[in-house]
Amino acid sequence: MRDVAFGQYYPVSSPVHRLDPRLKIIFTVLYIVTMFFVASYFGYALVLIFLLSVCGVAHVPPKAMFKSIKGVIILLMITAVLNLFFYAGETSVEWTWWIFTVSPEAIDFALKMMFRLILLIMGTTILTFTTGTSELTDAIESLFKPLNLIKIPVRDIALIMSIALRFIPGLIEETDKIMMAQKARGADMESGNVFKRIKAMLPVIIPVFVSAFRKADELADALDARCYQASPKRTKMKKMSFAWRDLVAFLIFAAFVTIIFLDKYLWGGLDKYIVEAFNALIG
Amino acid sequence: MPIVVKGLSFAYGKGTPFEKKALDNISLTINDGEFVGIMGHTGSGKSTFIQHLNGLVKVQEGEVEVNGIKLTSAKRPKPDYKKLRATVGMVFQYPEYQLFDDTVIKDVSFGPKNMGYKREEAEEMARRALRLVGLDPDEVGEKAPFELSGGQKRRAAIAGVIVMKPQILVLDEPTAGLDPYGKEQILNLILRLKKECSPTVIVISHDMDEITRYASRLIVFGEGKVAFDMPMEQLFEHGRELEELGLETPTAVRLAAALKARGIDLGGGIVNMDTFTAAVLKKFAEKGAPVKEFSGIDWFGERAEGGGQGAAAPAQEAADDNGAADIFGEGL
Ligand SMILES: Nc1ncnc2c1ncn2[C@@H]1O[C@H](COP(=O)(O)OP(=O)(O)O)[C@@H](O)[C@H]1O
Ligand SMILES: [Mg+2]
Repeated sequence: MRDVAFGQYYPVSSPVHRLDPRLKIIFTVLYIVTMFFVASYFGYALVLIFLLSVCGVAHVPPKAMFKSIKGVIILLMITAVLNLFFYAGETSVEWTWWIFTVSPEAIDFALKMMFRLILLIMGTTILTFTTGTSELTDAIESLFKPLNLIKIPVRDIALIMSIALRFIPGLIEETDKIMMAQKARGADMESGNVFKRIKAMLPVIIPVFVSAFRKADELADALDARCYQASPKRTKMKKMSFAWRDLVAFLIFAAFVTIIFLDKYLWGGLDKYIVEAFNALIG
Repeated sequence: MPIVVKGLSFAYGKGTPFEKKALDNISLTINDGEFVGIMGHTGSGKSTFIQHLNGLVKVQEGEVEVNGIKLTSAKRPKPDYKKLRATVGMVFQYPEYQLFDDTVIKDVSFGPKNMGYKREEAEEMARRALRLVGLDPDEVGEKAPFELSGGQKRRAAIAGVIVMKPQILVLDEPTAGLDPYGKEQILNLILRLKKECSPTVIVISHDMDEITRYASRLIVFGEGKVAFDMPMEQLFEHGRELEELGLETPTAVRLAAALKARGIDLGGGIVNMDTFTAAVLKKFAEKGAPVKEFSGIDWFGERAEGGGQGAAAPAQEAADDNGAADIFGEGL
C-alpha cells in the first residue's frame, strides 16, 4: 500500500521545492493546456527533456516520475489500442488483417495520444512531488481568493481540503495495519478473480471506514472544543511571496511554451525537416 | 519446534528518500513453551520484528524459521503461508479495530473459514474460542461487535485469533489503553491461553512492572537491534543502559536497590513485586516476625473468589478489592 508513488511529496530541498506554490500551480495548469498544442515528435521529445531537467533541478530521481505511470498503465494501453483500431481520419495506406485495419496515420495518432497522456501525468506529478499538501492548499486558497467576492467560502473549502489531504496518510497506514491483521487470520487478498478480490477486501474496507468516521468525529470534537472557525480572517504562519527564482522559473517556462507553439504554428512540426534531413543523409 | 531467526535486517521504503532501517541484524531463538516479553521504546522495531514471524512483511535479509517453515528473501520455494498463519496467531495493537462482520460469531469464525472449515464447524470453533476468552457465546454471539463494551471487544478480537489454536501466540501491546483492572484481566487471559491453547507466547509491552510478572524471558530491542537477551535478574543489573534505551527497571528492582542503599540487603532474584514481597517476608521471618504463607500478590482480590485463572469472566467482574494485598499476617 505504501508504495503508492503517485502524488507523494518528495521531501528534499531544491529550488523547485522552494518556488512559490501558487506559481507552480499556475505552471501546471498552463503545462496541461500546452500539452494539447504539441504537434510533433520533436515537441514530445522537448517536453520530455524539459521534465527531466526539472526533475534534475528538483533532486527528484526520474525513476520516481516514471513510476507514477504504473498505476494507469492499463488505461494507457486501452486508449492506445482504441486509437489504433478506431482511427477515423484520412489514411494513405491501409493494412487489413481479419477485422483489424491499421494505417500509418493511425499508428502516428495512437502514439502521439499515448505520449500526451504519459507526459501529462508525469508533469502533474512533479507538482505533488515538490509541493507539500499544506503549501498546496494555502496556494489554492490564495489563488481562489477573488471568489470570496461572489460569496464562495474559499477558506472553508481550503480547510476541508487540507483536512482531507492530511487524512490520507493516516488512512493508508490504518488500511495497512488492518490488512495485516486480516491476513494474519488467513485472509487471502492476492488470488482469485476480480470479484473474489473485491469481496476479500470487505474485511479491510469496513474497519477502515469505521475508523475514518471515528477519526473525523474526534477531529470535529477537537476543533469544536477549541472554538475553531474557518471563516474569520486569520494570518498565515508562512507568508508566500515572489522571489527572484520565481521570475527565473517563469522565464524558463515561458521559453518552453514558446518553442512548443512555434513548432506548431510557425514551423509546422519540426518532424518533417528531421525526416527530410534523415532521408538526405541516407541518400 | 522453535522459532529461529538469523541475521534478520529490514528497512521500510527501501531505495526511496523515506528509507528507514527498522531491524538490524537480529538473531535469536525462541523455544517451545516460553513466555517471552519483548520490550523497547517506540520505534525500536518490535512490531516489525513480530510481523516477520507471520510472513506479513517480506524478509529482505537474513532468515526466519518457524516450526520448520522457512522464510527467506528468495522467491522460491514459496513458503506455506496458510500453515504459517495457522501456527502463529497474531494479536495486533488495538485488535478491536479489526472487527468487521455483522455478528461476533461470524467475525470470530472468519479465520477458520479462511482455512477451509465449513460454516458449522467454524462457528463451533468460534463458540469454543469465545468461551475460552471469557465471553458467553449465547449472550454475545449474535450481537454486532459494535454493541460490545471496550473490554469485550478486545476479548472478541483475541478470540478471532486463538480460534485456530495457534501453537505460538504473539500479542502486540495487548494492554494498551486499558485501565489497571482491564490490564490484569487481559494478562490473566493470556496466561490461561498459554495453558490451554497456545504453549508459546510472545508479548510486546512497554510496562516493565507488568511484563516481569508474567514473562519468563525478556528480550530488549533498541534501534532495531537486540540490545539485551539474558536472564531477567542479570538484565536489571544494566539499569543505566536500559535507561539510555528509554526503559526503566521494574519498581521492585528499584525498591530493592533503595533498601540496599539503606543497609537492607534482600538478596538476589528480585525481578517483580511478587519476588520482592517474598524476599521482604523472608527478611521479616528471619527477624522472628509472624508471617503468613505467601504465594504471590492478589492484586484485585480475585483468588479469594475461588476463581483464579480458570474462572469465568462474570465472577471476575463481581470481584472488588476486599482482601487484596493482604500479604502481611494479622500479627503485623
Ligand atoms: N509501515 C511503515 N512504513 C515506514 N516506516 C515504518 C513503518 N512501520 C514502522 N516504521 C518505522 O520503522 C521503525 C520501527 O517501527 P516499529 O517496528 O513499529 O517499532 P515499535 O513497534 O518498536 O514501536 C520506526 O522508526 C517506524 O517509524
Ligand atoms: Mg509497535
